[in-house]
Amino acid sequence: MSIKIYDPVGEVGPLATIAPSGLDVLEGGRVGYVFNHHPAAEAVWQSLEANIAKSLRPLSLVRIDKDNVAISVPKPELDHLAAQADYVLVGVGA
Amino acid sequence: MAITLSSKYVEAADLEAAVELCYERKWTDGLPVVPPTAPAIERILAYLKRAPRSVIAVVPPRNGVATVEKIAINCVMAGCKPEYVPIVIAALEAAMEPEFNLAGVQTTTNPCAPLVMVSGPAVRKLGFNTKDCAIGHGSRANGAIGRALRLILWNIGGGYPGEPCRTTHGHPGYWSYCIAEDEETCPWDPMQVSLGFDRTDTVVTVVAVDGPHATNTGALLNPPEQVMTVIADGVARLGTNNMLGGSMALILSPMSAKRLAEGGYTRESLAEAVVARATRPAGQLRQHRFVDHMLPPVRARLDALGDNEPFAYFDDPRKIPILVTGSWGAVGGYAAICPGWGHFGGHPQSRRVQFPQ
Repeated sequence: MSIKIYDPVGEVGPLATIAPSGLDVLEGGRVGYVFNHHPAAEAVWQSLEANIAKSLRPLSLVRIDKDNVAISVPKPELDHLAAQADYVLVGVGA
Repeated sequence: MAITLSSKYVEAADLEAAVELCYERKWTDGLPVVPPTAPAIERILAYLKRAPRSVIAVVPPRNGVATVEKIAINCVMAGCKPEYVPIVIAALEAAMEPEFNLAGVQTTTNPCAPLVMVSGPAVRKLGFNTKDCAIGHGSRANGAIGRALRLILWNIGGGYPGEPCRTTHGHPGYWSYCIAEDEETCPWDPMQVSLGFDRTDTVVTVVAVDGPHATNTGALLNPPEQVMTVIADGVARLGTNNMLGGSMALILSPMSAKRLAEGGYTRESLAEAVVARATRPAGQLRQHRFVDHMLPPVRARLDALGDNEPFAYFDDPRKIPILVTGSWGAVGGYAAICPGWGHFGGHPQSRRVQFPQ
């Protein structure tokens, strides 16, 4: 006689979904930065920001600088940032 | 009450095939599991008297939905008796608190695993081992409850090594990490009382920590202050995330606890003493580039000190849970120091266990 064994894996919970959208032009846009300031990524991030400033000449810049690499930014803060930016670069050093 | 399971099932030819099937489906963390059959799952659900589909948590990083039924299945696999399961549920609920940062605990490179600390009447009633090898092997309650939480984090939370769990080494406590307080030999009010619960409550505290670092306190012969000095020295090692502050766990043998109590220490003043005395010269720390990970205010506190001035690792005694367990020991006395993850998370969270009426 066979043995029936039950699946221990939970269903995946609903995730917030956002319709994908594209940007035709990056130059002159409103830029957002979220960076976790991981020590291993500081240098590359500074270089990235400098290059964006030089090559894309953002119209405006808003940023969230995390001081704890492992704690998520509260959603209201992210929403606030997103409302002020055309695109956001997220830097996760680990 | 008839119980209808909503989970899918697969069929195996026999017991051995069922165990192998669990491996094939990646339903186990590497150790064999008890095949979760309907009668065993239903026994747990009948004991709990809770709706099988009610949701206890959405477990990161996979965001798997931990229903009562899914928890019961994982508890069967871990070898739990039905009466263990409320403790598992309380531990999971505690681990879901934002300050615990379970998503981070499940994925960090640091070797921190949820340590389940149980205190209260259920310790004796359910047969937890609080004597010889209290942190190690030999007890079904300790082993199965710790393993059940791990299987939930594995199967429902998706905390698989490599992706997304990036812990560099992990430690054996990743399989099962559950201890209980020995109220009989504890010289203080039991842990649940110190946390503000009633003496009659059974309370679970989870804290994410490294493996236990055995520390010979010399408590049989050492005076209390020397025992304290040894503990503080063990806490303030270079190379653990304790240097970032945050939280840790301190597990005392009855002998070490008794000696400290004789010196006037309470559980609370002992945690305060760890904060005050677990220090290292600031200059030594500044040579260790891991200080770059300190939170800015902590780094400022370090940089304000001269090279020979002591830098205190911790700043909040409430994040240092202390539990008394284990056998009396010989000259060693022993304490187990479990470094935490630093300020990143894994901080102690406590829950009263709700057993069905």
